[in-house]
Amino acid sequence: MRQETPNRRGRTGVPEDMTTIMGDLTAVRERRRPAARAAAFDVAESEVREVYLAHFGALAGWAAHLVGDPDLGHDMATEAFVRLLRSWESVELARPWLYTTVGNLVKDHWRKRGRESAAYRRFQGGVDPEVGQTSRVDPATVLTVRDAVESLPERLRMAVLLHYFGDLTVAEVARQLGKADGTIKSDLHEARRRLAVILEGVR
Amino acid sequence: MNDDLNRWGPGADREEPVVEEFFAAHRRAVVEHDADEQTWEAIRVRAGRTGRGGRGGLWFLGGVVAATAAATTAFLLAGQGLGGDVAEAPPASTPTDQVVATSTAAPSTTDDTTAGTTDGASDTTGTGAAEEPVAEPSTGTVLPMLDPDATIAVAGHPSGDESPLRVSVGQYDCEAGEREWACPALLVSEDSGQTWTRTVDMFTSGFYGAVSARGHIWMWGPDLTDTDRDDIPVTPSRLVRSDDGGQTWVEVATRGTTLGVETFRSTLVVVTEGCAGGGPEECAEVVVTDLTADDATSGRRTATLEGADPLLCTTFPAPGDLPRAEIYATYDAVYVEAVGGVYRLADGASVASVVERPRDCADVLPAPESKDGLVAWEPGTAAVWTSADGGASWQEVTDLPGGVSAAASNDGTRMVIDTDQGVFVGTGGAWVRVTSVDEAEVSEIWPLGGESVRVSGRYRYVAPDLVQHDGRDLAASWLTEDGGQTWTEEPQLAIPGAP
Repeated sequence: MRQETPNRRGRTGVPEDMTTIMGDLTAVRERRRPAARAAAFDVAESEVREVYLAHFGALAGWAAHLVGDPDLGHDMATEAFVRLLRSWESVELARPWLYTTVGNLVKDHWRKRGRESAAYRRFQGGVDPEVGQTSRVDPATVLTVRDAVESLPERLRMAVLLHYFGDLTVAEVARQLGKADGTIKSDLHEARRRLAVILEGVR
Repeated sequence: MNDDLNRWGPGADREEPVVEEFFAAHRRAVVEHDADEQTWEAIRVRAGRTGRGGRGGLWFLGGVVAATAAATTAFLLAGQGLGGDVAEAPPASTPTDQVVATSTAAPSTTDDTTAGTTDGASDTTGTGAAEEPVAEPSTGTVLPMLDPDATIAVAGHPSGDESPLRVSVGQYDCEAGEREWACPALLVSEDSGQTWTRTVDMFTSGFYGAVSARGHIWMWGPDLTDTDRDDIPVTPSRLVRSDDGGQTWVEVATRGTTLGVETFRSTLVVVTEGCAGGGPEECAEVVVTDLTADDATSGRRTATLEGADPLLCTTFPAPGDLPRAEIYATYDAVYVEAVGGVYRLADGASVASVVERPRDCADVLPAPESKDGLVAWEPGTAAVWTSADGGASWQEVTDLPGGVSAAASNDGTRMVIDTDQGVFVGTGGAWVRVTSVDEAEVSEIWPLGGESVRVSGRYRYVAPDLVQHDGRDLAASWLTEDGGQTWTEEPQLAIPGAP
């Protein structure tokens, strides 16, 4: 069986033993035989429900923060779980898959619409007027994740989104994006350099 | 944070602690949602788990409609070809490939074109926008003009190439904009785009889309009568037309909430939400009529868009989660992307068919110089396809130079693609990089017919301080008229009052 990448989530409130749960679920899937497919319908639903209970809240909050709209974030997370339930048999690692799916929805949303809000913020100098210019501000109020991610070349964006904000490991990002670990490391290295220049500039 | 950060090299993240601090601050700001039973049930149902072994994606259809939808891709409501006979209408319950509805959706009955200009609406803008109706009415109704002090932040691509009258939808700075909502304003040019005038405050009147053609302008908006969002005017869905450059407006009746409007030569295409026997999120209707029609509840042709899984390719357009339709009209067909599917209404036909995309939710654009040519791509991947038969079959384009974010073709063969390696012109296996647009923030590629293609950012005007970091420009635009051999950079729109 393929080696699972350790899951060290903790910040999002997901149990630390989620790795074990996911490993077990993978094992269950791989043991399936054609004769058991009728029962697999129930098994898949049960398995995805466990993933839902563990990850939905954090995923929806993650998306909401990226698009600036709780309802939209909730919708995106819901959509990702709908697709997960439909595609469960082919999904290897649920959490990276979910964050990648939502990441793509977010990027699509950014790409197609919603440029205005971020643009307004930059137009206003990138500073929350209620915070003011003189006090030391929380970096999160100075620049949105979208501002940061979209300041990068397209080829670097998803890796940054998933690794730095989604907290996926390099290996997980590499697998989700179909790239080599070394390529992702190199991309993140370049992205980090670029972001540092921008973030230092708005401090 | 991930332990493997430090595997990149000695002190890798320590060199840029600001990056780590930035993302850590944002991660701390994430507010988790509840994983409640109601949402889980919704996921189950949407994934087709309501009935064991049931048809996924058609759970929302019931009775005769469901039975018929399983067998056909669209329902004919009323067919009226140019100069032809009205299509014979079989009973609605007959499960044939063409079913005529026995009832039609109620047309938009709003008779007060100034609805949305009430005190409640104007008070929500934060700009005092509704106080200066300067245009003198001749026929129709005057709509509130944009506050002269409002700042236009961005403006979209103009429409109306066939006459000197052009329109562009601008977005002005407003309080609602801080919540990912758009505050659109109508920008009008009467000299083929040389100079522009700020005109209608679309936001306060509930209009979010506009298009012009042959001296006319149309504006439309969603049904916001039930909105509970702060700062958003409560307005009904309406479609209005101006024949005097946006000074006055007349109502154009529709079959329901307008999702999108497009023109092609003398044809007006209107897509509305819902259909007979189907709810607003399940199906849509398209009416093909004349440019000057005051009634778009029927016309040359009316067809239902139904049969795709409306939930499979859920998109999240802004502002908010308002549904919308993308319409592409060519000489040979009208393509509509709405309610989860791409539909094709062939020239003269009264039944729309579902375009089976080569991959779920791939983007699709018609190739206007080919009879049934289509280009599809999956953004972010190295996957592009072409179809020469309206989507009945697809051929994958190989040897792409990188992950594709947009693609287009006029003839269905020679393509322009935007990739993570730059913009390229060519066909599979032979790509030439377009170096002049390498630094652009390309988000759209439009096949304009002939050998013309436009590669551009999302806008045609961005207020100077909004230009993105490292020089990339959201309003950059390049045009080729020789199939991609030479490219001309197009200037931004000259928006009056720009900082």
